Amino acid sequence: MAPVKSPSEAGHTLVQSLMGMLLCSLVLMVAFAAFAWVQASHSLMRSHADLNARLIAVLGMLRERVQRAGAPALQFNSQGQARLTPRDLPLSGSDNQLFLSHWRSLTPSDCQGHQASTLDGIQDDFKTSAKQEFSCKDSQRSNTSYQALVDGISIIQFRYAQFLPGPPPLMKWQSAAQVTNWQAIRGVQACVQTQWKGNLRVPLSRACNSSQNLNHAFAWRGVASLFHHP
Amino acid sequence: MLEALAAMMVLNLLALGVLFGQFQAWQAQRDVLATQHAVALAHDLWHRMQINVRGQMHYQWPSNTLPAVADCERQACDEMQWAQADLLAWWTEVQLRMPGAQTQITTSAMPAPQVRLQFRWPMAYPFPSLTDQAQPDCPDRWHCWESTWRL
Repeated sequence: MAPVKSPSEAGHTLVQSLMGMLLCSLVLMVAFAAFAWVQASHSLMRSHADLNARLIAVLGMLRERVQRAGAPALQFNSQGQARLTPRDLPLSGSDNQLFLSHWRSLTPSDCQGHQASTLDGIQDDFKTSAKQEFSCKDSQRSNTSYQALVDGISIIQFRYAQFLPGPPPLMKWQSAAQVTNWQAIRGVQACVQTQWKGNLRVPLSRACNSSQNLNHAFAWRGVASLFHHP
Repeated sequence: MLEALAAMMVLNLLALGVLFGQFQAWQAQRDVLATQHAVALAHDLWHRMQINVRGQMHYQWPSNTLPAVADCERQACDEMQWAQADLLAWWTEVQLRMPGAQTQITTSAMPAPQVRLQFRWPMAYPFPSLTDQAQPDCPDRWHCWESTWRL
């Protein structure tokens, strides 16, 4: 004779159990799929952050050196009188190369961080190398060589804000060939372009050296003001 | 069987908890990146205003006069034209680096000449608990950041 069970002791049927397992499996599958998506998003975000960090580093470095360029040095003449001596030409360059000059007595470090110069001035010379690196050297000294500061920078282009005395006083962004007086430059615009491989989704940006939108490349434009102009 | 199902349910809950943690970390990383952009763009705006010292009071955003903005690469600009072209170039950079972000620039002469720059950008996947508490006037489900400097 089969034992009699009360309703509270009744078990689950095979179908109910299978349904429960199916539901649990579905939730687990969704969780793992979402986990994979979050992981992929993290990876993309890291690539994006790396790209941004490179561009921010280039613009930050340029701004720091442009602000320093041309600062007057405190010097004493033979009678012991102090005077502030400005730097004659704090900023000059071409469309792809920038020269920034400052007195060594203000800060002995060149753009590479070296304090090797024994000359009065330091001239930071920035450009991109053939290896797509943002690089620099102190071109005031002989036998110096370019050192890479940031890699993955394919193009850098400079435009110069030239003050045109009035009346009325005007200003104009000039290419290096258009600049008529380097001492009238008040600031510089740097367009920094970098490339990447993979599926990084970023907004379309305009190329540094043309009006076309970029594919698998990204360009930022930043401005640095020259505080110490003649 | 019942024990196995209960174990799977616990596993499910754990997986969902881990997922939520990952999601919050992803959102936080995204917001850190956006804040980094906001700081860099504020720095850029400050430099732009240092170049155009005479036209600093013209740096207002949103501006009603932008449709007639001049191209200061093709023609020489006075201080007001320069400021408008600068703002447009800056705004283009904002949209490039922080798509969907909104900004407000208020330059005032009184009581002391100063600039107030406000950024706000939407959360990617908003949760009520992630609303920006640091800014009391920040809209719900947006992140806000602002900076003020003297001229």
